[in-house]
Order: sequence, then structure tokens, then C-alpha cells
Amino acid sequence: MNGNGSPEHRLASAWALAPADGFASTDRRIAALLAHPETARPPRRWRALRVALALAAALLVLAGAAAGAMRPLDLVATATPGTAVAWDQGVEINQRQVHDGYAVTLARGYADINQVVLGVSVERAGDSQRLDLGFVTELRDPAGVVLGPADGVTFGANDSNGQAEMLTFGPTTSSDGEYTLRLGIAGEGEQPDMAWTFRFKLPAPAGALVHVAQTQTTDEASIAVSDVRLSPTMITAAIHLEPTDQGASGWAAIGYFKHGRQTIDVDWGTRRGPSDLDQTAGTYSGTGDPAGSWTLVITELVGERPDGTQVRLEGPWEFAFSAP
Amino acid sequence: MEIATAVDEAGEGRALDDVGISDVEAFSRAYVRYRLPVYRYLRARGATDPDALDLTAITFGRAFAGRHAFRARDGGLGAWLFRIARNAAVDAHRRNKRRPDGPLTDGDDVGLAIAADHAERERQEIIDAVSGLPDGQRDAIWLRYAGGPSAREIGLVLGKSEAAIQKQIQRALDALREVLE
Repeated sequence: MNGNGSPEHRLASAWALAPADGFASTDRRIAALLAHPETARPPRRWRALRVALALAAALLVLAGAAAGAMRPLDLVATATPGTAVAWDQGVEINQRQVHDGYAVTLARGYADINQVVLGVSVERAGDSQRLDLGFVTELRDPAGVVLGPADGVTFGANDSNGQAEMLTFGPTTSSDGEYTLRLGIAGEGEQPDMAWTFRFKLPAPAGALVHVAQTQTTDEASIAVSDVRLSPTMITAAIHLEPTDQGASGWAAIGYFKHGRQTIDVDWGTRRGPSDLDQTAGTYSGTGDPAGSWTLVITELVGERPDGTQVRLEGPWEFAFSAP
Repeated sequence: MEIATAVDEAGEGRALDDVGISDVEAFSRAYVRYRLPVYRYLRARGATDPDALDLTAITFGRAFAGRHAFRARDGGLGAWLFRIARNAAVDAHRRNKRRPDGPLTDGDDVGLAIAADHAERERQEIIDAVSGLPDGQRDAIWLRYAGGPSAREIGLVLGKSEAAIQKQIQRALDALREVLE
């Protein structure tokens, strides 16, 4: 034994490591995750947005000095691999409108078969300052369909010049014509006035929709996968669960997609569908080359019984499919 | 250097356990509280700096997806998160075979926070010694001294009793003492 102390101290010293560049990248992924809180009874929409934005801003502050040097839109654009792709492959819109002393700029837009992503910045007209605003949004696609009202915000960031958001919405039903984005700034406890309206066009959405239509059954559960959407910003699978443990609920699927040597984790989580057993499992990374063989592997289902006992059903349930 | 940061902050962990992590603000606090211990545990298991960051994000992503299923009575937040982290590391190793599921090696980027006066040779000596331990002891040592959970929490992560973990850690420390002396 050398003179540096007991094995306990030497062990702790050996692993007293910190990330070389801090937790900025992880913070951004988690901030994006927290912007999609799933609650049994969602709070009022604008309140939920404020919570998400405030948390995102708090986590981004933790990202440190490197993040502080970036403009808010640059910051939020790189929040996840998927949003970075949306930013890079999106089109410039650059529409600016001023109402009630706030200038809102719709900078860029992007659409694929999983989501529509819009980059928006806000500043106080004629007076640069840090902002901490909550937004309420409504996006209609060219067919007039309102897209994903529950998913109206990815997350935001702010600095001394203002605030920026990457807004994400559900997949478009049409790309032939103009989208309409209405936006309001929420005050505490009051219904916002949707004062800003932007009309713009986006290219046809990229990606491949694959009808999988497979069911895999084990002693623990039966899982059916109907469709998988493979796109540059994310991958999603529509799944239906039939666990043998009928007394549990609140199920979440854990797993990954495999494509050649690449694996993409279901780290976006699962989102409840029409029922607790109908869900969408998704990723924060997408694919630019969907053609070929894929496998969705669900490794585990996690749920809970009414008495609070956690239930973990071990898989795997594997679904092989091909994309054109 | 303080050894047991998680033990020192046990009160904070218990406070998080008490309120649960179902709501976004509580989950955010849990993330800030546990991201470094989880990262260190993953590094000790052999992940590189970027891989450990990725697995840390995956760990908290899985935790967020299953947060409604978390109950403190199942062993507390720390045990639950380290169990998810361990599963994520095992899954990553099984799927990717990117690198052996073992301790840090000479080729690893060891990050920033090694104490300035702590020689690389000393660190490598410790790592080599731990790599020679039986699997169960090694996992317990990684968790205890890289992640920081208590013996009870480690038992819940590894599916063993608190007493069994204490014995494993003690045996491991005895073995390390012999090797390192």
C-alpha cells in the first residue's frame, strides 16, 4: 500500500471523474425530455409550457460557459440529434412580427413524417433583455388540421437578448399549401391573446412509413407493432401492449431500434395513445437512410400495480421489418 | 477527497424519495442530484467519456419514461436510478460490443477531475486491482466508490441483501488491500 491512504480513499480518487466538456449535451437531452411531461390530468396548457420552459432554461444554465456564448436559437437547435437535423435541413422562413412590444421571428421550419419543427425567437422590441416567457401555439397544416396541440413546445433558452424556442408538432397530413402558426405569449394565470400569425410553406416531409403489423407474445406480455415511421429527426413505433399482469397500469416500453450496425435507443420514451395500452415509442435520433432491414427490440415493460408495486416484465420482444 | 458523496447527501436523496419524481420539477431535481454519480458509475464500468454521457442521458430518459412506476418503498431513488444505469450499460455492451464491459484502461480519456496530485500510476494500479476481483465484488465496488450508493441500495441494484453486499465489499477491500500493499 502506498502512502496515499486506504483502499476506500484510493478507489474514490480513481473514479472522481467529471465529463471533459461538462454535462451540456446531456442537460439538453434531458431538458427536451422534460418539455414533454406526461401527466394523467395535464395542467392548463400555457401553465405546462411555462414549467417546461423554465426547467429547460434552468438546465441550460447548468450547461456552463460554453453554452452561454451561443445565441438562444443556436442553443436550442442543437438540443438533440433530431433537432440539430431539423435545423440543418430546414428551410429559412425569417418572418418577423411585433405586437405588444414583443418581436417574434419565425426563423426556420422543417417537416418530416414524424414531426414539424419550427425555430422561433422573441425579443423585446427596441430593448434587449433576458426574457422568460411561456408560449401557447397552434399550428394548422395546409389541410387545415391542427397538429399535435399537446406537443407545441420542445424547449427553449434565453440570454440577454431574448428567448428562443424549438417548437415541435405532430406529423403533417398535407404539404400542398401554406401552414398557419398562431402564437400567444402567456401571462401568469391568464389566457393568452394569440396575436402573432405566420403563414409559410415547407417542403414535402421526408421519411418512410412502414406497416409492420406484427405481434410477438411471451409468457409476460403480447406486444403488437402496427406502424414504424423512419425519418431524419426521429423514429417512432405505434405499439399496443397486452401484459398478462392485468392489475398493473402506467406501462412504459424500453428498447431500441437496430439497423445494420447502428442501434438507436427508445430514449424519447413512450407516449400514451388512446388508452394506457396504446402507445408511441420514439427516439431522439433519426435516420437519413431508412432503406433496408430493421429490428425493433423491446427489452422490458415497466408498470405499476394500484398498491404502488413496480412491475417489470422482461422481454425481449423483437420485430423485424424492411423499409424500401 | 470525500469518499461517500451519496451518503453525505443522503438527506437530500431521502427528500427526493419522499416527494417522488412524477412531476417534472421533482424529476429535474433528481437529475441534477444524480447525474454525476450515475456518470461516474458508468465510467467505472468502462464507458468512455462520450459513451458515459450518452448512457447517462439514456438512464434518465428511461427513468422519465417509467417515473410514474417509481415508488420509494422499492428501495429509494438512488437504487432505482443505478439499476436503470446498470441495465443500460449491460444493454449497450450486449448490443454494441463497442468495448469490453470492464474497467477504465490506459487508452481512455479520463476527464478533468482527477485530483491534481493523484498520479496516473496510482489510478491505474487501483483500476488493475479492481479488474481482478470476482464479478459480484467488482460490481459492488464500482457502485459504492464510483456511484456512491449505500450498501442497502447496492443490494437492491444487484438483487442481494444489504448484509451480503457488506460482506462482498469487505472481502473486496481485503483483497485490494493485499494486492495494493
